[in-house]
Amino acid sequence: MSQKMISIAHEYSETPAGRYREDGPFSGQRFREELLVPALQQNEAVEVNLDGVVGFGSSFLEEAFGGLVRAGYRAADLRSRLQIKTSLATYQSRIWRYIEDAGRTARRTASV
Amino acid sequence: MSAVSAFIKDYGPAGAWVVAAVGWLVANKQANKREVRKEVRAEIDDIARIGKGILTELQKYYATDTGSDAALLSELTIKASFKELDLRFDRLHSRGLAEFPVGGLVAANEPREAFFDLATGVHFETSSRPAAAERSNLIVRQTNACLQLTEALHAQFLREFDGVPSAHS
Repeated sequence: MSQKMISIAHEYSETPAGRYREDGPFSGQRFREELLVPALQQNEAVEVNLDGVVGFGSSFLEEAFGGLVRAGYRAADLRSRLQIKTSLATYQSRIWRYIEDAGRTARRTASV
Repeated sequence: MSAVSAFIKDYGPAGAWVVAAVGWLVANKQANKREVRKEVRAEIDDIARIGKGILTELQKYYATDTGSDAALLSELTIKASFKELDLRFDRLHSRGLAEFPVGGLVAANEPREAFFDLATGVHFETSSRPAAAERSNLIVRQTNACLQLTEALHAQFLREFDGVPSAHS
């Protein structure tokens, strides 16, 4: 089983910021589209390491990870394929909250 | 009667040691609990202080021009402060206390996450700033979430150390 490891601080930026591309060069949307989605397409499992970053805003985290659901990934599949590695337990639960919330929103929208 | 006196004679000195050891253990446990209480109190006070600092910085942030050096510095300060806040929370939840369980659902989680989302979502790190009315509304909601967070932590603290029952129990 192939596994890809992505360190946001080393491979993207120590100061990721913003939701959309127009919000800055290291936005959540760009991270998702250029690093996260290709890694998920080419590997069975992906581990994202959050350590080394100055801090995250909810707009970046929500767009990068919650955005995966809007891009067509199911929250349940992500649970088995995506690993979040961080020394701060809070970030982990926060990212899964964004993924689950995006899943709930997608289900609500589909049922309307 | 002679059996009792023989028992006291044989084990009396040892009994005194046992009483002293138990006394020491009880005193030590109480001292440890007092120490933990003090440390948790200090941690909660720090969280409240960091929260207030974030609120002050947010007001400065909304007054900056988008993309300016001042705005970038302010954004960094806010994100770093939240990281510090999260670090304190993780420490608080790693002590094995019933009211502050590891990864558990606690009353402070909801206002804490609401505070984070309201402060670093919406217009944060975007090329727009909220209009005056929306900004006031946002600041009120952020302040409210921060206060609720501090209140919830104080309530958890009282339940943990002073046995104050939950308002919902």
